[in-house]
Amino acid sequence: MTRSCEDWLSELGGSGPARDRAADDLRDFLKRSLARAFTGKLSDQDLDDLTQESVLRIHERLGSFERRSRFTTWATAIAVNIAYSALRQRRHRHVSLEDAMEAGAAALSHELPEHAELDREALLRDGIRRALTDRQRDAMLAFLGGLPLAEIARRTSVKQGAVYKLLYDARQRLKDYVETHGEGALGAGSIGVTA
Amino acid sequence: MNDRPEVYKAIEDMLVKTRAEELDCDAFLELLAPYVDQRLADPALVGLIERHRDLCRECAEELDLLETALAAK
Repeated sequence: MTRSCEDWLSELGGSGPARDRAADDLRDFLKRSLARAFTGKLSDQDLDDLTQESVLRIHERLGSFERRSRFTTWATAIAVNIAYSALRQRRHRHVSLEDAMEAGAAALSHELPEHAELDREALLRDGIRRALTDRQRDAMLAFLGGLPLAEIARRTSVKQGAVYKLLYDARQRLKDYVETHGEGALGAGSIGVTA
Repeated sequence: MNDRPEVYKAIEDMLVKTRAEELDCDAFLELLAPYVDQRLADPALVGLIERHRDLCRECAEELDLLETALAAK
C-alpha cells in the first residue's frame, strides 16, 4: 500500500471500487497503528470499533486536510485522538466534576506539619482561594483532583483548549499572587522564598 | 523527611513553567501531525509545541501515542 497524499484524497473522496479499496487499506493501517500504540489497553472489538469511527471521522474531515503533513500521519493523529479520548472517558466515567473538585480541595487541605515549607503552602492555598475566579478555582481543583483537561471539558461542554486557557489564566493569576505576596521571585523550587 | 504533599509540588512546577505565550491543547493537537513529520519551519512554533508538551501531561501522552503508532513497522 503505497499512496501519495493526492492518491489518498482522490480515492477516498471518489466512488466505486477504488474508494472501497482505499477505505479498506486505511482501516487496516489504522487498526495496526492503534494496536501498536495501545498495546494491552484495547480489546480487538475496541480496536475494530475505534478504527471504524476513525475512518468515518477522517472521511468527514477530508476537506480540511491542509497537506501540512503526510496524509497517513494526519489520519493516525485523528485515530489516536479518538482512541485516547475513549480510553480516558472510560477510565474516569465514575468521577463527577464535583468528586474531582472535592478531591482537589482535600489534597490542598491536609494537616499541615510544622516545617519550613508551611508558608509556601499557605501562600499557594491563599492564592487559589483569593486570586482565582470561581470558574478558575473549580477547574484548578478538578484538575488537581485528577480529572484530565479533556474530561473537565466534556463535563462542562467546552473544548479542551478552553479549559487549558482557563487554567492558564488561573496559573498567571496565582503566579502574580505568589510574586506579590511572597518574599522573593518565583523560581525553581523557591516560590516566595528569598535565596 | 519531606512529607510535603505532591499537589503543592505540582502547583509550583506549573507556576515555574508558566510563560506569557503558550499554545492551548486545541492548537497543539492541530499541529501534532506536521510536528511529528518535522514539517514545521518556524523554530518559535516548535518551541511553543515543546513547551506545551512539558506543561500538559495529556497532550504529551497523546504525542507519545502518535509516535508509537507511527513507529517503523
